[in-house]
Amino acid sequence: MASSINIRKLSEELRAHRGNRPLREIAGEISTKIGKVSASTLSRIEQGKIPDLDTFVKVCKWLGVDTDRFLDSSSRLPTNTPEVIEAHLRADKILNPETISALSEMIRLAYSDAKGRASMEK
Amino acid sequence: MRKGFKKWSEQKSEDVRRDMGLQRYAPLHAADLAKQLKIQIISPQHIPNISQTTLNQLLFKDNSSWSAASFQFDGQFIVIHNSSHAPSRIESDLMHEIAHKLSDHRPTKIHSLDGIDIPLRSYDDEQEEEAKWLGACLQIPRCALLYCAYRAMENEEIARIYFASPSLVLYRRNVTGVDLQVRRTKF
Repeated sequence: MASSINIRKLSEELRAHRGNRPLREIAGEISTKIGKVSASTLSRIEQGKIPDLDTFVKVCKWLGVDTDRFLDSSSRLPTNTPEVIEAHLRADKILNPETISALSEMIRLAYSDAKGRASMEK
Repeated sequence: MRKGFKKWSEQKSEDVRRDMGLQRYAPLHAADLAKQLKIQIISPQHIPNISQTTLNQLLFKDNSSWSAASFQFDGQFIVIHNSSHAPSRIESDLMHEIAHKLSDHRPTKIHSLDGIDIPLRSYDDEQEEEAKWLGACLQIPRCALLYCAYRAMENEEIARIYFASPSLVLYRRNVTGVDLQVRRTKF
């Protein structure tokens, strides 16, 4: 079963932390201190639209909380790897556990190989 | 789909062939187009250190549940495709991934599957619809279909020439209206 960010919680905390300050001001603050985020993106989050991963991480940093706060246990970003692989997968929505495990290994190994070859070429 | 995307896609299918020094209606393997666009295509069995258990699971036991996985590294777009599928399906799957790249789609919807510890992004419905359209155009350009329709070629023969399935040929014939165009011309 697919799971995702708890957007309701994120939306509520963003709104609460913002208070009466306009979104444009918040966007400016995040963009200055952390990384570029637009006011329209923040507005969409407050309306319950799930942001992309980069925006999600920036907003969490601005809120001063860990990303785990808004993810359920199966969605947690890996913390024991030096970097996060983001992949696109064309597959059935429901996969059996063995296939999920195999796909995970396949993507990781392909990524490691790409990284290794890139290091050798430099 | 975005306004004008269908027309853009038909033109794109001819443009990529021209850029490769081919006739605009020439058959084109997805792997050759990928090479032209510097997209790396990988089969699971060629990934170093991959276990036989993993290969058995993905290419035999449960080979119908997935088509492709892609990611970017160091500016390079990499696609791992399900090499156990029929050749025509592989062509279609690869053209679909290439279509996302040519359309400059960025998967932004975050989702995850229970048990997979890699953040997954997905394309939205409009992007998927566009990739389906463009992928089919890339595989069988309209001008090629028109050429074949004038010669009363059967779907199976067209499919063989363009590395496609007969169902894809039928789909393209229906959505392009080439048969109607040929009938009008002849009368």
